[in-house]
Amino acid sequence: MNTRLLTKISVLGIAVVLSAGMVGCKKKSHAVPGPGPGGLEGAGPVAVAPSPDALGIMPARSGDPTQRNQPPRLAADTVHFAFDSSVVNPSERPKLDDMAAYMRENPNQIITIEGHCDERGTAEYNRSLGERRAQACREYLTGAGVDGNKLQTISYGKEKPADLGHGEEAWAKNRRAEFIITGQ
Amino acid sequence: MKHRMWSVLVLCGVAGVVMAATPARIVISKGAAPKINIAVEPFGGDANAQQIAAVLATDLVRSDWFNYVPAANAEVIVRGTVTGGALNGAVFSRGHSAPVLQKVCAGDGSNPRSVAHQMADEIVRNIAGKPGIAQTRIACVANGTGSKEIYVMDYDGANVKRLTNDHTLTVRPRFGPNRRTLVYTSYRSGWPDVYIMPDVAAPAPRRVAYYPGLNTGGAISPDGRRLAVILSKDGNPELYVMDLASSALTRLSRTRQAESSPCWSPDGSQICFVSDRAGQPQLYMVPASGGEARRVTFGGYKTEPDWASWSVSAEVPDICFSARAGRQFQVFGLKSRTGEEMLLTQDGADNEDPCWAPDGRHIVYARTVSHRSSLYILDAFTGRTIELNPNLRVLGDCTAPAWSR
Repeated sequence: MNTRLLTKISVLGIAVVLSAGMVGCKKKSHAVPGPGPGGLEGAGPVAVAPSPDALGIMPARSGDPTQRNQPPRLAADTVHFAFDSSVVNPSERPKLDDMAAYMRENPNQIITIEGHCDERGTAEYNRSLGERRAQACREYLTGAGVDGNKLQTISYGKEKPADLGHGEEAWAKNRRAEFIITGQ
Repeated sequence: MKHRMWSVLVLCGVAGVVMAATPARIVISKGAAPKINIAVEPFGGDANAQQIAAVLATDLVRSDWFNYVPAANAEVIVRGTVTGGALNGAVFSRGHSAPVLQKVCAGDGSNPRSVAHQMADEIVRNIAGKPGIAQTRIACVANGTGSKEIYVMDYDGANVKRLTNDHTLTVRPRFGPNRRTLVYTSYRSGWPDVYIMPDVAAPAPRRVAYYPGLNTGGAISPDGRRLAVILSKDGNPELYVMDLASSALTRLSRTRQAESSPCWSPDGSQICFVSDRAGQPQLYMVPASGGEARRVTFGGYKTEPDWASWSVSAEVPDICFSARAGRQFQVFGLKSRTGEEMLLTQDGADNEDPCWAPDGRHIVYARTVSHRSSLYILDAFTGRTIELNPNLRVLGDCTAPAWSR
């Protein structure tokens, strides 16, 4: 736990340094004044979790996510989720461990994590839930030592199902995070 | 204004399922709002005079403040003459020879529907004493081209125009406080970004939020100066308010869960939004300048709030949202003052994405049956629903409607 936290802090540090180094880019400023840690009431486990900022500030966008460059090894590492959940189940961890190994073998590649939902649920909530799923995978990978600056996210919500069916079998396939290569 | 509420105890069957999903305080409104009996006599003048009279009569019925009746039974009679495309209209109360309302509605012969809509809003405002909606617009998402694009139309589904040509996912339109400005999310850059189109009559979108990660859920404040928006640039989907002049951001949430779908209170002081910080998604409110968020719904799966810009009656809820009810989604209302929730639709379909008309009475929503979606209008006073316009089905599945303010 301590090493994971340290890793996260160092990743955050790198991100801050990198973002401070960006020039002529007002909109990408991360020095956002916030109202403080409000709005955590009634959510016990949340209150003891690290600040969401420790998840790592996102790197500047890179590459075109519509060009879906997905080798078979990355396709096989697609992570699946329970209904209405962005928690990485223990059964899915080996896929993320393989992605961490892949990224160590290919340290220059930029990976985009796509977050997806099944068709149940409403569109905008699913768009945020899909982003949470992608971010949960990103958090796992940075915790495993992957450089957060090589990991970006995109949510499609329920807009791009892997299976066009309407039953639980299709829904289970559609609640997922996929990995694609968007840069070298 | 008498408005009858039937408690759930009176309802049988389906209501029981609803109760199981979302306990407590569920009532369905089946009230009968008083209506004024009105007639439109044939107009004199230009060749399109009768078309204007017919559109006006339809507008008055759509307002739900009037019954259209034969002139002999009318309490209020509309007469008019159309000259050079403009309508010189007058409204008479039964038994009085002097008009109670006179109005010249501008026109040049090219826009007969617009002329009728002007007169309709005058009559609703002056005779019924309510805000009219006949000159409002509705935007929606439709997929008929093979992509999701945004369309805009008159409030009755006439004069449909496609606003985007992005060939991708273009979603979640919301009007600004005037009737022209539209904010929406498009993946045209490859990523989900928020755009503002200052005038739907001359589509020239400006990209306003394009941070790393998710940018969506844009909602312009009632004063037109701020944008509530969902961004994930700091590692998680969170609620922010952007000052539109400076692009400066104020962060309003700080959770490890997903925030979505902000909307503004009519005075611009509060934002209602969705968060699943307590498990399933629920509605919360937070001061727009920052502060502690307050949970306002409990139990079930509740999303997609929209806050009415005008409250028609204490009997009618001022926030609408969509929630899971049994196996389906239905449109619900919430009274922001009391927290009372009301089931507003219940017809065996999935009813989602509700958005208020500026009269605080009508709600446009997407109704889905057998995976096909079309737009419907709900009268929150009576619970009556109608399809917005069956002709819209040529656009494909219509979803995510937005009503201009």
